[in-house]
Amino acid sequence: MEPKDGIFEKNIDTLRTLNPELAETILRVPRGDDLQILTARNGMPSIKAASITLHSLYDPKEEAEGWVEYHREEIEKASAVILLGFGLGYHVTELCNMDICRVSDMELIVFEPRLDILRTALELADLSYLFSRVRIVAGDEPLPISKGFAILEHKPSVILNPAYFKRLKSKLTAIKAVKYGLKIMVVGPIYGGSLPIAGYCAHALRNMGHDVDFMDNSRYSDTYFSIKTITGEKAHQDQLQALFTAFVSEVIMARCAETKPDLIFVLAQAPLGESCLLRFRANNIPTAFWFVEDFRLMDYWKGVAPLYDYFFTIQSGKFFDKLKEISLKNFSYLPLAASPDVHKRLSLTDKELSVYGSDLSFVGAGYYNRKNFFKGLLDFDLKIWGTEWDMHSPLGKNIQKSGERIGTEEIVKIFNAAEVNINLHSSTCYEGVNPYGDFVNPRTLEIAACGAFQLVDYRSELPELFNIGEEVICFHNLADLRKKIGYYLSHPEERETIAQKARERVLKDHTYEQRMEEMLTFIVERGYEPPRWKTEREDVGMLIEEAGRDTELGRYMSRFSGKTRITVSDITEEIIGGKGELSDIERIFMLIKEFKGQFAPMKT
Amino acid sequence: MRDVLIINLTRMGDLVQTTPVMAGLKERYPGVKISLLVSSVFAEICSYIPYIDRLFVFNAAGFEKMVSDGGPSLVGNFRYIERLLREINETEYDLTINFTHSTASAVLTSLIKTKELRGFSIDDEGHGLIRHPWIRYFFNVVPSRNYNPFHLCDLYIKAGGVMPENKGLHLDVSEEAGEWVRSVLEKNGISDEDLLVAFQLGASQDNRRWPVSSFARLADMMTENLSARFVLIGANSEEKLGKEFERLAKIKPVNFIGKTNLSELAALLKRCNLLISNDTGPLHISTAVGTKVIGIFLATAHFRETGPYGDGHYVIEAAIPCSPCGFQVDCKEVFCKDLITVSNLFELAKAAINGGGIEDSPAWEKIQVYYSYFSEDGLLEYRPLLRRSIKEDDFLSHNYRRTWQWVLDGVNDYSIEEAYLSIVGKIEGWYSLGSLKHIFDSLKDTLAAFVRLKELSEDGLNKMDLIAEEVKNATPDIMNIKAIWKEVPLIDREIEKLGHTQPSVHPVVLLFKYGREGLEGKDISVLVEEMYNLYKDLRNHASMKIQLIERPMQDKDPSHPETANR
Repeated sequence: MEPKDGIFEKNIDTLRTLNPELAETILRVPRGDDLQILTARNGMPSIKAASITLHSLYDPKEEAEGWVEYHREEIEKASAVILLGFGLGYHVTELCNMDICRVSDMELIVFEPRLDILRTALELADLSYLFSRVRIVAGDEPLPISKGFAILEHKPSVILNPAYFKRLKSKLTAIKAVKYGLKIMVVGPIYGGSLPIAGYCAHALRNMGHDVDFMDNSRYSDTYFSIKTITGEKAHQDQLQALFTAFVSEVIMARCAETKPDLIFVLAQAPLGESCLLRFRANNIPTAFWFVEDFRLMDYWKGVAPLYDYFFTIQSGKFFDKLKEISLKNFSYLPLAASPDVHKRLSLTDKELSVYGSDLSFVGAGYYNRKNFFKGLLDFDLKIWGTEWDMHSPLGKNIQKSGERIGTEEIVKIFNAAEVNINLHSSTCYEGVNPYGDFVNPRTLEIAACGAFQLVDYRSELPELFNIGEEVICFHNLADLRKKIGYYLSHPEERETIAQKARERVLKDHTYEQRMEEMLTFIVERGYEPPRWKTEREDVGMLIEEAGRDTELGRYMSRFSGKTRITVSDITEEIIGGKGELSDIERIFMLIKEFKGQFAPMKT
Repeated sequence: MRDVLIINLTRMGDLVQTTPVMAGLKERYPGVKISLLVSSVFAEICSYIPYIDRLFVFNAAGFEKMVSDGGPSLVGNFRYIERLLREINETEYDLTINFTHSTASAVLTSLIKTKELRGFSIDDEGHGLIRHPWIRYFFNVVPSRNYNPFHLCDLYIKAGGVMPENKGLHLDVSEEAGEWVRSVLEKNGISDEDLLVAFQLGASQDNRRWPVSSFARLADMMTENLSARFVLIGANSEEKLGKEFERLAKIKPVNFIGKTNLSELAALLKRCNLLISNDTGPLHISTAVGTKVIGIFLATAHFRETGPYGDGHYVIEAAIPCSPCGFQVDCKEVFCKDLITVSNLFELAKAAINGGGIEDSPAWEKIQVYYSYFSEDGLLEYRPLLRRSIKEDDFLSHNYRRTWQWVLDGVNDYSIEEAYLSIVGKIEGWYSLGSLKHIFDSLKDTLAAFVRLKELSEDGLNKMDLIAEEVKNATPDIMNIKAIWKEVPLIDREIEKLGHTQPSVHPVVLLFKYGREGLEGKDISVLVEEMYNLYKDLRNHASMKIQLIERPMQDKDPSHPETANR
């Protein structure tokens, strides 16, 4: 079979418009020595490379149709298809002809390392219509792809390039895992501002389909605080607190050995000591830290940042320079977010409105600048909620619930009830607005997520998160704030419009789900590899292959293909959750589960 | 009956204790083929167990290894079990008995092709269920350790529905191993004529281990007075104990610890004249090869269940209220160890070697010694060698030995009088004379409890009758059935309460309670029938007990007010 005139040129011209780089590379590639073009019985071309025949010698088209049929269920369930091997493109054509590929914009990517084969394919048939639908990749760098992709193999191509495809497959499997199949331990602090954030992160990761073990260390807060009641001597308090933190650190280690996570995600202030982090590192357990603090106020980052594999900040700019100074490599900006399952619009009762409502409202601790600044609002109907306020100051009568700690549920009610939420970022040295303030506090995003209106002091990183003037309104000083309060109190419809837009923006761009996705994407880009725990978790795809797709067991196992890796417990949990008569397959899995429990090696 | 499968995935000792039921099956069904499924960990002993026609070994080691260590994958494990099952199921069994009390064995059992099934299994929905009254008794009642008079081997025999003529445990000993033993002993200057005693110093738990220092002093004493020679036996893990013994004893034993396989161990024990051992597997090997045993039963070890099974063996234990410990007890002050002294053991060993009894003295005050023999019912019995005053529990144990067999074997033509006379015979022979009257007062409470139990079970039966009547109607009144059914749990609660407040009726209540729980989720028609049977068994058992307890009281006073007119 000989190449037909003009076909190659047509193919290359089309390819050049869509993927010029690939087109040029193909033009330069010489014909492989081991290639042999053959004619199948039905007259269509086939090809042999290194004595492997890539397509049927009877009817390559029929073979490709069968291949699609075989994978139909998998393709229809996927949101993207990654195809390993192009060959002469018969199966690619059939794949593109499937209804689902024609009507949806499902991403189709084909990996083919042998450009000489690709060139031959372009010489033999008009494939120009494929290029707008399929992305062809010759390298082995996986592209950012949506979750839920299926990996399909053109077996002869895979056999022809075993090392390349093995490497690629393991990378793809890691991506798939990171997208929705990791076991993540989230470690929170004993108390403080990062405590709820830890909870939101854990919740978001769970929503994304990860298996999350949340170490909620607030369970130790009573004990931790009781230390102060034992001795008034600061040095003794410090000593006891250090010992206690070391104990909690060990607890986390022990839990980690028990649950064998793929990633440990730690929030600022979490009680994890240096020795503990060094042990994680020695055991190749990846760790990530989200430093949700102001680096200028809290300088412990210098000590801990190098102990983590990945470090996330809520400030960039100067902080990045400082991190570079200490030669930190894997760090990234990860602004705060909101949790729409918690921070949401509420319809409040009249009673709630009278308790929580006011013209102006502020929720937060009584920092130096706030204590001073809010005195300038004393002529408004102002309610202040939170701790560390001075009840005997002029603001005393504005402090609600005698300065008690306010729980999240109540905070959300307060945000919803206020006509105007005042949001002043804390400062320990300025009298009011910090003119150099950069990062955006969680309150900004939480108020926005509630669909509530806020006036927030200007921050240099705020424009990255919201359109100022449209989604949020900023103030720069007291006079500015007083003017804006006056305006917006008398323009409720404008408040409503702005608040609604802010809420839409948060749901679109600033949820913890998005942040966690960004975090995981970053760590994958920086070479994340899951730790080699002695684990019982096994790759579902491999198990199905081992069982044989078309065997009874293979078909049974395929119900777990939504998960990346499973243990026998995942199977038996589904069996126990199910109804009806047990099949022999189910009984055998129950048996394996029991035997594993009975004979599993003792934990050391 | 042509093919029987026995599943026993537990320990080595338990496997040897399966031999009597196998012997019984072979006698009762000539030509029957016995298949045995065991765990690879304990498979070695099976080479020496007679009666096994087919052996299936479940390879536990395969499950220890994780895939990441090069072990089989989940699919590999699956295929392994599938293959094993295919192999097992090549035969369709007439009877399968699962003696193992684990969920794993229950699931496995449910995958066996068999006409009849006894033991622990799961139903179609995955709920555990125990088939056969004796195995239900074994799993549900024995663990409470109340009045159980039956040995594990006998529970197996009863579950097999046989009664072997050839009594005791059975194990083959190869001539080769015997030769090896003789040559090693010879090298150590021990001839066939020497009095040879084996010590097993270890035990599965430290609490169950008589002190090595005591063993050492005993050896010295026996050497001095009886010219005995000694061998130490045990597993690798017990080497430390052997070293300790050698350090403490004046005599020099031949130390076989960790140096024998099971065949050699059996041959060695066969050569010995006596084994003194804690509750261990070798104790059963010894009885199986016909060597006399003195079993020291401490802490949780209970000889009635797992003591030496055969004629003419001895058991020594502390006769204290806490003995044996409950299964859940983690005793921190194992003083039963100290109560049994070296001189006690020496006296007992002398009696075992030379024949004859033990002379009671203050040295035996808190100790009891038992002698094993096969009783007239064909089952093993332990006779106390020291005559002590009878306690209510002793009397009830003797009663239970009779009534459980009537109830669980479904015997209808039992004779209270015959049973009573036999019990009285034992009491007169075994305990301090005239002592039965001492327990009449406490027996009155027990009697009242059984009377109440009988009333409650009759209440239950009445309810079941009422429901059955209603169901027979052309148009049953569902509301009425529901109303009657609602009252049943009240009766059951009363029954359970009685079991808790009166320990003497607890075993009977336990069997009822577990039987009742096993019915959960069943269809109402099945439920009523099964409940009827449970209440009936309960009533019959209570009635048997009432008659047996009243009988001695009638001897004392025929016009006994509480028992008249019943």
